[in-house]
Amino acid sequence: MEFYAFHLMPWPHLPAGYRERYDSAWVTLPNSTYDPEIGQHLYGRYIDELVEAAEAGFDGICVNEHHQTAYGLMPAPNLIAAMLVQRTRDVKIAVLGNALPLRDHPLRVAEEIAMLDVISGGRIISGFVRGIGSEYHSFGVNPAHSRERFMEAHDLIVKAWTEPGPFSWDGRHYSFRYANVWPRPLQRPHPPIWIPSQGSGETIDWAAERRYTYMQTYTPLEQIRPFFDQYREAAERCGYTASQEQLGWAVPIYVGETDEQAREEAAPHLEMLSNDLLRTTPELLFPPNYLTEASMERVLASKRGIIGARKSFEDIDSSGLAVVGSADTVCRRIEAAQRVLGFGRLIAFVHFGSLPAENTRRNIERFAERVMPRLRSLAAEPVRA
Amino acid sequence: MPSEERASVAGFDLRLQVAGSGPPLVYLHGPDGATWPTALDNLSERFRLYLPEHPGFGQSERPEWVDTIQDLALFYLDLFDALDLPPVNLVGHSLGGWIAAELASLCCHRLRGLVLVDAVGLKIPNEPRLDIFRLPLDGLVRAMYADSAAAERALAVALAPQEAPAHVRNRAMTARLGWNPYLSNPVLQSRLRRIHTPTLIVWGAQDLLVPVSHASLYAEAIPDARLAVIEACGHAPAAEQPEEFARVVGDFLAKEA
Repeated sequence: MEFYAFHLMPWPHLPAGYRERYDSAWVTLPNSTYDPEIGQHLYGRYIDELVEAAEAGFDGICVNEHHQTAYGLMPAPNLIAAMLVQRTRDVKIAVLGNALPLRDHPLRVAEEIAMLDVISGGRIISGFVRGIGSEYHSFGVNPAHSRERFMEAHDLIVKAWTEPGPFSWDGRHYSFRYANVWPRPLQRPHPPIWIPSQGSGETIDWAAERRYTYMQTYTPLEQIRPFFDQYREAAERCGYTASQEQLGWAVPIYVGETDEQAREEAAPHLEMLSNDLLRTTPELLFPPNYLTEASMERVLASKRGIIGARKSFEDIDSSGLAVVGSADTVCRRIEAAQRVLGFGRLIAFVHFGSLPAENTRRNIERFAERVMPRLRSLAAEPVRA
Repeated sequence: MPSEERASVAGFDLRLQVAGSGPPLVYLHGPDGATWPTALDNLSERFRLYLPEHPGFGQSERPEWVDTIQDLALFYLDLFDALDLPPVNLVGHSLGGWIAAELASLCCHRLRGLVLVDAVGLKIPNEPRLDIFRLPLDGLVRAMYADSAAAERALAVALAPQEAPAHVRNRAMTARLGWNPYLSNPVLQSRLRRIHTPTLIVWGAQDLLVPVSHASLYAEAIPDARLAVIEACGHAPAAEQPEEFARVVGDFLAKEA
């Protein structure tokens, strides 16, 4: 099992009357409610937390991309990744953005990831995402073209990393007479590609065909198995057996000294993540054409609880949207989930919601010292579909 | 009541509702889909009515080559040829009005008369607008009517479970065509000068989705266009004020066009 520390870098200071005055932390929450002076300290603290995770022994640290929202303040994940490259030595750095369809120039993504890979000595994992539906409201990109732009930008970037330039590119959405990316990435044939997703069927098949690591984010535990099974089945159809390293589970984790202490310390911040930062409307989260007709029903079913009524900590905990407890409890729960799901990478939200700095630090330490060593040997063997 | 017919347009099997007799009148529906508004019964006493279902709406598939509003304008020029119609009276509502305006700016000599009804297609810079893509279905239906009782009646029909797949499709196709720029084409306004067909602009005085300021913009940009504002009426005059709508449109097309 490999362990990754994930951070959203949220804005925890939502305005007074937030729940009454605003329908979402996305798209239209006024940016006047963001304070850049507090923001400076927050960025410093959050970056330190990822560096602490690296020093504590996590295999990788993860940044991600979200736009125009209090949910996460990394609209430019490659910028934060660049800072982490300079602050760390051996840890992998996973950029779980870039949101390809939101970019008008995929070669810029190819260049930035290649720069990071060269400077870091080949430590970069390149995540590609379509972006959350809300971001299509914010950026004006037509969701009807999201999937096409994602596929085409991906094909172009991988070609730019792997084939000698210059070459010309004549696609439906992008057209270049000279694609000739300097620098080329250090890792051969290119940095590993991860695909974080909410469970779109087309995306799962596509990732399995290319043997990319598929990562399921913030989904109730019992709904994840069909997504991972689909990946394993698609792999078998492609003539290979998926390794567990090709599947990742991304989940908030909090380790306390005891179950009671863990619950007490984590509960308000998980509730804030679920009820305030993820607060949205179906129209914002799933704009027309963002999902295909085929995927809509399945993804909506898996997210229904998330965009619906308020969730208590007990709801979050019992549905496996988070893993909270003493080191023993956390180990037991992850082992149980691993046996059912067969994933080989655990992506731990080591911070969530408004979790204070001291709790985050202790969480990282306890997880690294008491949980990681006991789970390290999990996921050695492939699981058949 | 209309009968259902099919027409082949560039290989696409188009679903049409047809009624009445007289000179041809093609009605291009809005984002709410190809429901037959009461007003078309009145108009079918004077015209041969055609209500095609736009590709991608309701029960209709979307051929890959229909991705923009201009694709639909060319599609309907092809329909006129496929049906071998003489010069056409073209009435377009909302999104259909945008298609009609694009079509007329390209090829107005194929038309006998043009009526734009609460049409999207133009943009007034920085004008605050309701964003239909952020509204849930009930909010959208309520925003379409000036009279709240009429809105609730329409909502009861719209919320019927068997209608749900059509709403998803209608919304998806509307968004494909009008996501950004928001329900408009930045170059359309300057092209409207090319329309030399007798043109009537019809607008609901209380349209919340496309304010009546857009009626004036169309009326100013299209040479010699006439403007008729219907009182006590929101975004859908053919549904909310059917008699008035049918009289205004019918009289204009009979006398002027």
